[in-house]
Amino acid sequence: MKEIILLKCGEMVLKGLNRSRFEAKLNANIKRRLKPLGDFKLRFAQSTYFVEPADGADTDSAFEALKSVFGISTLSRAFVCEKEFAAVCACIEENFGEVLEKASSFKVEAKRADKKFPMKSPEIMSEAGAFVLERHPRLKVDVKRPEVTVYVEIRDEYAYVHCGRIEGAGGLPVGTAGRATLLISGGIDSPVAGYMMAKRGLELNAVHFFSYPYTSPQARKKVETLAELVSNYAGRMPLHCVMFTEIQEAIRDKVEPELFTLVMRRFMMRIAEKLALSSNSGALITGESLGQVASQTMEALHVTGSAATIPVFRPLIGMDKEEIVKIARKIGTFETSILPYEDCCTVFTPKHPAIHPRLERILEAEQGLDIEALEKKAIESVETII
Amino acid sequence: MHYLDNAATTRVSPAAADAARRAMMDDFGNPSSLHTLGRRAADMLEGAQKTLSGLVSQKSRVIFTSGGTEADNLALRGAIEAGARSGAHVVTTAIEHHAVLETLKTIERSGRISLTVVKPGRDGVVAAGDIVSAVRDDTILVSMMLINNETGAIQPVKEAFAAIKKNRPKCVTHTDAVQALGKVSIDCGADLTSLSGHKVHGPKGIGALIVSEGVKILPETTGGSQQYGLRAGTEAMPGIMAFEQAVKDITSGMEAKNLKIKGLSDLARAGLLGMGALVFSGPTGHIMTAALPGAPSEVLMRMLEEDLVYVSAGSACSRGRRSHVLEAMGLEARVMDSAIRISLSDDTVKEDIEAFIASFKKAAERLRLRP
Repeated sequence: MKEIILLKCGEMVLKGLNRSRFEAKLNANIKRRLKPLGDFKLRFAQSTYFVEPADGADTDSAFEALKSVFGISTLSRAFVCEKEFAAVCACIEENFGEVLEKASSFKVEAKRADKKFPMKSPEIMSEAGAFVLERHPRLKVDVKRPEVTVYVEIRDEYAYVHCGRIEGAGGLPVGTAGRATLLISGGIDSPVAGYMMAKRGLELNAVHFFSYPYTSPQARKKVETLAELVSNYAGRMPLHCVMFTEIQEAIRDKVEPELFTLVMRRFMMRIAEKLALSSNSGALITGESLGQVASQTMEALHVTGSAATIPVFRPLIGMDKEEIVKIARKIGTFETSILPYEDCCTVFTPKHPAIHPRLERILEAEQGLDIEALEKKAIESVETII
Repeated sequence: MHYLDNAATTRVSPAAADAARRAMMDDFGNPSSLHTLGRRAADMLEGAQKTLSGLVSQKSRVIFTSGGTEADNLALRGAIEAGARSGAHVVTTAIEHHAVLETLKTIERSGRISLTVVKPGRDGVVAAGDIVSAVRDDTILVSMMLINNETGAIQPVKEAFAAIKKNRPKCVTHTDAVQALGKVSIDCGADLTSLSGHKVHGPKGIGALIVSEGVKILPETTGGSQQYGLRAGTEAMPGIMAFEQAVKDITSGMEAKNLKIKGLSDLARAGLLGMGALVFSGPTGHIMTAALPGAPSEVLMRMLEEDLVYVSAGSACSRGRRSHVLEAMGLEARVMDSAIRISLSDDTVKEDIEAFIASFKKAAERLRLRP
């Protein structure tokens, strides 16, 4: 008896005319994700994906991998059998007999996509239920809150039996919403921001600013690790590492300490935007949240945001730290984020940062810097890791 | 490259490496074997024991361990267990290496001992009087390092231990002499002396504990009856022979070599003071901690590294990683956070010091900290 994976798509099915584009993207994403795990045949019918492993394919790993593919709302592992009632019952017993033996209550849920099948859904449910009760006399039927639910789906070619669906990653297939550039640091927030926007269908590329020797090689390695973790969800995400040292030193020399962080972040936005445009990315993404640190007051966000001309997505803007941490744990980035390698050297961190800055003041401060030359040099220094 | 981190570890000398190789490939017998090959190894082992016990004037046994840390553990735990019936109080200093402090704190947490930790002065020296007055009627062990690994400060071990022995002869005295070997005489009347191979151009993974005659310790590692039943396990002959060679080499012509090192150290000191840095170093000059407030340790270390100058960063940029030694000395935060350590050896040449000073100057300028 063959085991396959069933995937149900979420929001995507509501997309009307765009649906085929979405399906194609999801198809491609699933294929790419499964490629290293063996041969799988992909079929899409009635809002469901059927992922059939070939001999020797790693179904367990495939199931795990598919849990982080956006566009899928639920996954289940199902067994395939002939569209005969006897075969269905045999399938139930063979694969779920043990589970049912240990349980105290159950129910059968049936769906009949093939209307030509002789039994109607309610009949399948009661007959199959009776079959199970016969073999497991201690079991009770509970239609309200059963411990185990056996799902039977009768489709065109075969019948599928499975024991439950688990929640998928949700969202929309990566790439259906376009491309955006994530400003990623070693903190907890930006990887979560990347995950959240990829979830809405954005294909990502990331930018990281490092300032060796002020920042350590370990800090950069940490970001590379975080980028890899985000790409488990977001798919391929090129990481552009920008040498930011000269800019930091120029700011330190020419700007008053209160404004260090703001001027620095504006440089980051401008450089990120340049990199975004050269990769056809239509927006920037940051992990900014209102009021977390001094540079994230409303005025500060206005000052740093004005440096960009393309939209800036801040998916965490209204979230509490705890909520962000919860997601970070879920996607596996938290433990890496809290490793103690600093992103920004204390040398460039003002003791008393301006909390309610006015844009005019920052623009004036920027007059003393040769922004164009500094940014040009920084962009030339970019190292891209794929 | 300009390697100035010898207090962290030293390059194995060719002679020591050869000695190890011979013990691995030629005279590779097990000292416990009864045949000739084993007897040969046993003789070599005895020779090494003699060499090391010759470092102190009192009659002693030498136990080879896996390093300075194991030697410290054996000394401390061994003495505490052996002295169980005489008392449960231990005295040590706040500037000891983690191998001593952590071990004693762990034993304290288990409730087995009560611990008194004596602070140093601002100069990094623990006063002999302070140690002696901390000793009580129920003190069974005093542990005091000979040379501190961060400041190079020489501690008055001989003086303190002599005073302690006068009043409480049963109290066991231990000194971690890991950084002292090769710099000064380690003959300071201690009952137990810890040494490490890789600080004196021997390999990593080998150390020794010198145990004065009559001093009782219980073993930590049990099994076979090797090494007087105090440290089971087939003796690590390659490491031991390399260690013996290293000890012989570093103690021969010690005074002349150290004079040269002192000269180089003074050169470094002058250069650093000229740049407005604070400098802490011991009388021998091998080890020196320098601080240029405003320059984070790790950043300075990385800037020096760009010029192939290798030093130790006193504090890590990561939160909460400050030197417990500098903290115990009562230094200000901005000093501690900018501390780097340079440490010289017989391999160090004038060019190394010049490169260090030049690179330090460059870094200070880059950080806008030149006076």
